[in-house]
Amino acid sequence: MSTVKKNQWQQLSDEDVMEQFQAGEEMAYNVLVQRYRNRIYHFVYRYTRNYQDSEDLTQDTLVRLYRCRLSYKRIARFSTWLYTIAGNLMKSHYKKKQRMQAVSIYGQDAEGGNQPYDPADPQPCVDDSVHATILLERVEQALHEMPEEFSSLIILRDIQQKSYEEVVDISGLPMGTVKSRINRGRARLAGMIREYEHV
Amino acid sequence: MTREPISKTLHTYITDYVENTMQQDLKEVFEQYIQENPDLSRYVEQVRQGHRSLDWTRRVTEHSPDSAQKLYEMISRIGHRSEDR
Repeated sequence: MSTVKKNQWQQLSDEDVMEQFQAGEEMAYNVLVQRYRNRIYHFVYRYTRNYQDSEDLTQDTLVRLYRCRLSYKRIARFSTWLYTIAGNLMKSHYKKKQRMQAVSIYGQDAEGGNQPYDPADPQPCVDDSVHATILLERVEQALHEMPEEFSSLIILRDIQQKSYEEVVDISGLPMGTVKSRINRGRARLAGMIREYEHV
Repeated sequence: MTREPISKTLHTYITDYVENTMQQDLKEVFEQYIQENPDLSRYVEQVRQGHRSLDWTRRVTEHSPDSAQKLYEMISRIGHRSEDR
């Protein structure tokens, strides 16, 4: 028996509806599909410019939503999570298309022309892959928005794994300043990521 | 944002603590000092979280050519921004 009355669904946020869905409330899936079917379709169409591919990719995204519902964690907005799934499916779709076109150049696929849409792989959900993509984008965005005096030093130290001595040599700054800026940069980054993640 | 500690010596301790390169006996004393200073404790936790996110980013980019390329392009842009100043 549903704990949410029919007229209450519209008042719930996407994240709350998703929570209901994760708890086993099937009606929540219909609500999410109603809210996102057209949005995902238009998002995908902007890149594919192909009605059939867009329809198939939208359908596949919604199937993923159903299958991977338990992998959603409330550290990201639901919309970000779902659009990232759609984006990942588009990427693999294009990679497959490119491979198929490459094969047809050498005559192994004489049919050529419009290749049928190849449904996304049926592998089980990889729990953290979508969240990993989201977090990576956030780290990149935070680094980009941060003053260069911080970002350049933490990239050298934390991404490129230079020693502090090397960072001092490259930057020409005193060791104390380097360590101070790296700490302040890391703290800023953590704060910025938390802002993005706040739902 | 949390008030930042002032001294560069303290920043050196924080760096060693967060990167786990601090000597054990010093670490124990420093941990106690952190516990007695809530502002410092929050700040160190933020530094630690930032460090973890960056460490994680580095590890992901090592195994994903697409991500590595994207990050490399961004780093290049930051480099250009720096040169423009």
